[in-house]
Amino acid sequence: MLLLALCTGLDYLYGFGVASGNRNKAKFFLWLSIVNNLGILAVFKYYNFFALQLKSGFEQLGLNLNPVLLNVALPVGVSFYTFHGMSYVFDIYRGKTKPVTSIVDYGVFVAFFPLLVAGPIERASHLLPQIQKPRSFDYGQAVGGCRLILWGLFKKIVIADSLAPLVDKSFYNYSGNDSFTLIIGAIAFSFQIYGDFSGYSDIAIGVSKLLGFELFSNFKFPYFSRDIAEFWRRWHVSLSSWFRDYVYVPLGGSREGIIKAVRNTFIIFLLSGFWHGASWNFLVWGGIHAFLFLPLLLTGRNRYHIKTVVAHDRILPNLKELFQMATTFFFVTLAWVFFRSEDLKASIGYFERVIVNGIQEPEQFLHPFRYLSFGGTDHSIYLTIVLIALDWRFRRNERDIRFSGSRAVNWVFIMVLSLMILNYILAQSDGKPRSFIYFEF
Amino acid sequence: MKVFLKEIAVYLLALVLLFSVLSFLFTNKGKNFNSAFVDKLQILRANRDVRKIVLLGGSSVGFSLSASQIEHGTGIKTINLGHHWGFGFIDYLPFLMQNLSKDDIIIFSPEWNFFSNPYDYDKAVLNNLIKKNYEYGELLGNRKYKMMYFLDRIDFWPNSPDTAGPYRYNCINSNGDIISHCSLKGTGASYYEISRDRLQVNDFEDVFPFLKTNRTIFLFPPTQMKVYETHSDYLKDIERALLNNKFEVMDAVKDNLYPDSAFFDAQYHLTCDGRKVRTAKVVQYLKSGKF
Repeated sequence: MLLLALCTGLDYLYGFGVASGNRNKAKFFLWLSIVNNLGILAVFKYYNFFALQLKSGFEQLGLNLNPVLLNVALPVGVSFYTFHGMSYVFDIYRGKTKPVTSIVDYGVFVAFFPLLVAGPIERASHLLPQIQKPRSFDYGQAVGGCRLILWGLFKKIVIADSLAPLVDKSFYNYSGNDSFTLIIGAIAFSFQIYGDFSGYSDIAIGVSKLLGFELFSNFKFPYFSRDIAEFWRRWHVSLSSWFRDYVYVPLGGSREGIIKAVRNTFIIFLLSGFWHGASWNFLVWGGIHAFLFLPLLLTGRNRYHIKTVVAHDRILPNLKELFQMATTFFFVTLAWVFFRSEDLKASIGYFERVIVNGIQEPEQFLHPFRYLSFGGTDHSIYLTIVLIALDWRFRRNERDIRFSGSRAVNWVFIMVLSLMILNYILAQSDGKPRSFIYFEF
Repeated sequence: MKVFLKEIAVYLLALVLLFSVLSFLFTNKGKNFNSAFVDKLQILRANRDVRKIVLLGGSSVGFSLSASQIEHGTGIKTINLGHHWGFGFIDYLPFLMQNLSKDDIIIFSPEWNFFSNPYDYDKAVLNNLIKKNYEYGELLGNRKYKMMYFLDRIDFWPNSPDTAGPYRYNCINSNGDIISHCSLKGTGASYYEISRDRLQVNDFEDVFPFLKTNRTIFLFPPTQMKVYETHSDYLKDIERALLNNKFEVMDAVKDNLYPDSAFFDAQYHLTCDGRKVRTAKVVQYLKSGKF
């Protein structure tokens, strides 16, 4: 709380400095805000990582260094509210917004409760004006908000939480699992993290709508992306667009030659990885995405598929689109293994086990449907198929979660979703859903 | 706003009604292995005013001590309350205390994990006990548990109940001993890892009030030899901690070691023959002293 109050107070004051009209003074306060916010992140999130890297570097040289390590928990939501604060100061610097006079309004922007712990990361120029103007109840907005909350709860509780045991089983004991189980585990994690994080975002957006606020969309059916560039326009949109607008573009983006464009691409992907946590795994995860993005950038194909979702005017995708979606999903899932594993060694061990065991015991692939015949938690695979089908139906508008044009059918859909959510909550051993994955970041 | 609130009210009402109907029609409330524990508590309540010996612990007591043999050997009513470590002790401790008289004797044989965490229990197991057995909440006088019984999940495809294995509902005799495994062939025990967390034996008197009110005899759980070899230092620490607290301890850990062949299917679960040998020692100990 103290840290949140400190960040809020400082960025509120820096905002006036940045808006002073004097270019040098504005730049000074902008940098002060950056140093201040990144400094907080560096201390609480990254200090131990760097200290341990330094220690191991010295050990390689035969020197013994024992740095003091911080034994403090990562403050909840620190990665999100520091980015909110920086967005505010940046937006003032770029003339997109003016400093707010009321610290209460600014405090609401930074600590707006649906966003505080796991985003979406909002922009000052988008959310602050909504906070400042009086709001009134809007029936359509409130109903839309409730639908999003329900849809988010379904993705979190019914999909992500029921996939969790399968994922845990695969990743905790990867060396004792067969290749097929590990492949299923990696795919299951792709859907677990999607259900978990996009579910949270939908709940946050839905709650905000109930209160009369419209937030940015954070997920736009990313697994229907036809290439990695499209994936990043659909996955954790608020973070990727933050890095694009406040890092990639100020660094020159792709306007200053191909070398700088490649450098900038790597910078934002590695930063995006590192933002998730101080670990080599996240860096490698970001690096893989940068490498996957590179061919598109170099061939000028990174801005295909900007305007429309796949098969926007058809019921089903064509074969080419299906292949594109499958290959994008395949590479994204490969990268998720690094994201989910305990450390780099475990990630490599995971892949090694998939390959070696797959070669040694190829007969396991002759029975791919054995998972579908499982009882217990493994009905989560059926549920994932339901999620994909529903996502496909809703894919044209992530804000409009209506199953049909018929009011009666929509009521039935809502009741079925609600019953499933309730039943899954009651099935939890302790009556509580699991915590959200992104609360750790 | 009024229309919206009205629709929310209709939605909630419809949800509650629909859920109630479906859960009435499709909830599996069949009795299972855990339900037998409720029967044990009922045996205890029925013998509230009778002088008795109560065997207390998890499945190591249920499977590996015979209350009927002790009753036969001592002539004192004996009830076996051991069933599953996952229930913990804390949950039903007040019920136990209400049904004890001061000259009752307790033979207390907690599994190893309880020495470092006397509050230990398994949420899933306890939830199963509560949600499948209304009588449990009723016996404990716990309104929340009675409510939880009705808030069970809808189960369209319940597993058919086990009627032949050891973990079925009809698994105990009239003293509460688990006897369902006596006619079955065991699989033997696999190696069991003991978590070596910090011991909390010094807190036992605060956690278990019967230690202050009733004669309580500690008995170590049946342990595999290879487990003892790996953890003998830690197990000896437990032994020392109990003696330092001046608790009555029947014998040493090493007196409770059994060969693999004496275990039915898991650590703590002796075969019925193994149980006979173990219980005979308890009877002998009880008869050797005044009781």
